[in-house]
Amino acid sequence: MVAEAQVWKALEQIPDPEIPVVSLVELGVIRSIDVRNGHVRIEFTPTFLGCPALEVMKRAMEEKVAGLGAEPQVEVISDDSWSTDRITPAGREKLVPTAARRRPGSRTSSARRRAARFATARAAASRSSSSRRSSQALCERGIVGAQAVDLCAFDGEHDAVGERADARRAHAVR
Amino acid sequence: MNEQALLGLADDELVLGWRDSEWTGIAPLLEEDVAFSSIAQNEIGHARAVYELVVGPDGDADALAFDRKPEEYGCAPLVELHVLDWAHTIARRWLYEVADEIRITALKGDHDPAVAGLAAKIDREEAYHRMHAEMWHERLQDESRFRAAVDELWPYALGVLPTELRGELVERVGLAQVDAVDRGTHTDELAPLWEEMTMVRRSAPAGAQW
Repeated sequence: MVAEAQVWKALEQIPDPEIPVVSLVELGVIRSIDVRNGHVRIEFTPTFLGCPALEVMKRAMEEKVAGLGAEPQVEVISDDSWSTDRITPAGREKLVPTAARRRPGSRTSSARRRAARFATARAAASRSSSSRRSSQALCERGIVGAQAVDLCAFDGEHDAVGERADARRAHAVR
Repeated sequence: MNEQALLGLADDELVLGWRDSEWTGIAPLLEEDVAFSSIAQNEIGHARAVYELVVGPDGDADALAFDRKPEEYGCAPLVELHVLDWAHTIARRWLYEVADEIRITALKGDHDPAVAGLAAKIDREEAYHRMHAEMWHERLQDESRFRAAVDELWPYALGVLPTELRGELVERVGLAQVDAVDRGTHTDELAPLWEEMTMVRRSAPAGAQW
């Protein structure tokens, strides 16, 4: 008989299709798991409704549950229960250093950079040049969680500013 | 909220999402290419979620989105218009977002928790569309071309909302109440849009696996 803890463990192995450095569990999109008589019911809250990877994630979860010998039932919950505040501390750890490593001379893989950009696009449906400032405003108004602001720190423009500042500092040291 | 009103909302989001996607690759700024594409994707995602709510867990949202005849869609004429210049495009985005905010806010108080919950989710995401529209409105509001486009689209914008919510739109936009171009009628521009939107779906026999 499959136990709930086993299901959580199995779902931890599914990477987010757009930001593969974090798992679905770390992203906070699994709201609940209910195990009853070999049936596993998963409540899943997509990060945003335009998410093109919804079906892919659903299928991946169903396969994991079937792999445990149980009958999966994934229910997509379209309410307001997901925000960036639901990203677990472990998930944040994996996301934030990605930006910190994006410095001149660092060896950030292009996949991680792409993932970071996806995070930005996801955090701000429209990527205007003021997206970071906008996210800050949204955060203050309680519309998005604080994490969105961190995610928007991945913004290319912001990074370029950071890199120029780093270059100036390096010059000053010399 | 009744099913017809929900379908009207979903059809608005689908058709406007489709219209917005027409700027993909040809917007006047790269930034807007990305913004319009993202907004289009998000609006179509909202349409999908509402269709899924209407058809229930065993229903087929795709059938609702693509298998109806153009005259069976419940979208407002505002979203159907094939606008070809930036002033009209931004005027429509801004007017639609103001109207949509009023509608979604009302929907968040719906007695059906599934409807209210979905409205809250949509509202959280629409906040970004509103900021985009507001940013452009702020920039263009004193331009005569933009003002003319807003005036031209204003009767259509009123038609997005049921009569009881129009007063708030009048107040927010600051224009006089006029005769609305109501939902339930369609412009000549919907049929060509539908032809293209459903072309691939119609090219395969019903029940095809994609």
